[in-house]
Amino acid sequence: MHTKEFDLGRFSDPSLLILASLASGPKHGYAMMEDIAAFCGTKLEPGTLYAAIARLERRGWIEALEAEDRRRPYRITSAGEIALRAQLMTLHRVVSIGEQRLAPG
Amino acid sequence: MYQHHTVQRNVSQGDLFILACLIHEPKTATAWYEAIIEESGQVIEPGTFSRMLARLERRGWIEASRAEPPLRLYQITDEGALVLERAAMHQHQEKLQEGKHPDWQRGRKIIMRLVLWILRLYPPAWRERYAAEMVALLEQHSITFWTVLDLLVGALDARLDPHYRSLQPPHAWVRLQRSWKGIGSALAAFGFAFVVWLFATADLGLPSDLNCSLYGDPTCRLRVEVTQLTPAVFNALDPLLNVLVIIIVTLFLCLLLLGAGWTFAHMRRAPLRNGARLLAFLALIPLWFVVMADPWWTTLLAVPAVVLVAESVGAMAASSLRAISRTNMWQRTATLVVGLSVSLGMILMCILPGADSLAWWRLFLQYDFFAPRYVEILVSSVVMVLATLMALVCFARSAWAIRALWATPPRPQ
Repeated sequence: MHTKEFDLGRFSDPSLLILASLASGPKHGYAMMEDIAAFCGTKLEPGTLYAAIARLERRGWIEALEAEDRRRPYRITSAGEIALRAQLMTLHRVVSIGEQRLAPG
Repeated sequence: MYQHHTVQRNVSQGDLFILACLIHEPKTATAWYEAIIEESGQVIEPGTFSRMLARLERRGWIEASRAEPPLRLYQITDEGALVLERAAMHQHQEKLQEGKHPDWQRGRKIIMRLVLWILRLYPPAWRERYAAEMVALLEQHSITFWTVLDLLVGALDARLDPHYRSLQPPHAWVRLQRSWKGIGSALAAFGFAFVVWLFATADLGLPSDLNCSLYGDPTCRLRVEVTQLTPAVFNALDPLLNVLVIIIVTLFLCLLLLGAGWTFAHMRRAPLRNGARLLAFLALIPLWFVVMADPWWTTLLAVPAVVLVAESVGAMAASSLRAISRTNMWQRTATLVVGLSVSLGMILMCILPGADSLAWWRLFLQYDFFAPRYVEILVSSVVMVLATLMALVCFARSAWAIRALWATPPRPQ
């Protein structure tokens, strides 16, 4: 699906990926990793994932639900949705301008 | 874990399957039914489907829009998504446990222990919040070298994050004690590296034509003494080192004997601790004078003595600050003077040999770099520089802590 050469590496911002992943419903850490690997091919490591989760949670963009058997699901908040939308808008702009400029003629 | 399995038992695979067909977008019943047939390749009875649909709705895993039946949209709820996720996780775990060789599991256990140890490097506040779920995640994750590296980077990142640092600031006197211990360890490391360095350089054999006409220059004198391969090099440092250490020890004893005000009022068995320290010093001091002829022993003895002095004086200054009423100007000044003079003495003891070793470093550059003990010389030099830096940092921190102790409001009477 997604090949290695199109992997953005360190530029694929973990926070954005987490927000995008949580947009489809609450998930645990492991489910997030799987989901992110499935939809964009980036394999986040636990250290990176939790560094980003901690920051997002502190900003109030995601919130933790009640823990079930040690695992704690996270849910995107409305502030998080707004932030995700804003980031996606920027990305859309980048995409459309990039495509325009790449278009022949 | 038990709860996890009970949930699994109540859910049929069929329910999970039709729930999974709804995950991407809300669907009308017809679209959903068609999607199920397409995904599974099997035809299910419309009656069965509507029963399953009702069951899912009753459990609260799906919700329906308000529109009338043909247009009514069904959508998966948060709870439904969680059930699916849990089932996927369960399947994954079963797959992991299938057909694994016992050696594999033993290796996995060892790796998990390493990973758990790395988790301890995270700040306490972080661990309290995230460690349990992180461990649960790591148990499922396939751990590679990159995972370990990533965790180490994560720990460093969390340590540097002021958010976790500010959650639980240790009391100023704890910080003071820590910085004393830091200075002490720096000094010990420095002393050890210094001895290694000296032996290593002595083995190299030094050029005899050191142009060293100014014999009065202490650095030059040291060089000449090194070339003569005598341990007498320490004599150059000895007077200063001994005087400083003796001053500190005397000061400590005086403080200790000053009276009830200087005891650790808030600590249990404080007099016992002080007594033990006093005995240690009483044993050390005569030893000192006995071995004065041999500078090696003086230096080696100086290290533990300085550590003890640093720790005790720091703790004492701090506890006295708590114990004594802050209104007495003299005691306050005495405490401050003691704290500052001791820390200054400590740092001098680290800096002076450090400066000398830098002078020797210049000498070292004249040698054959591929000499047999090159590695030892290099490593010990690096350790000496690092120890000096650490002592400087600890000194700054202790000054900070003393200031904080000074600034804390007095306890209500």
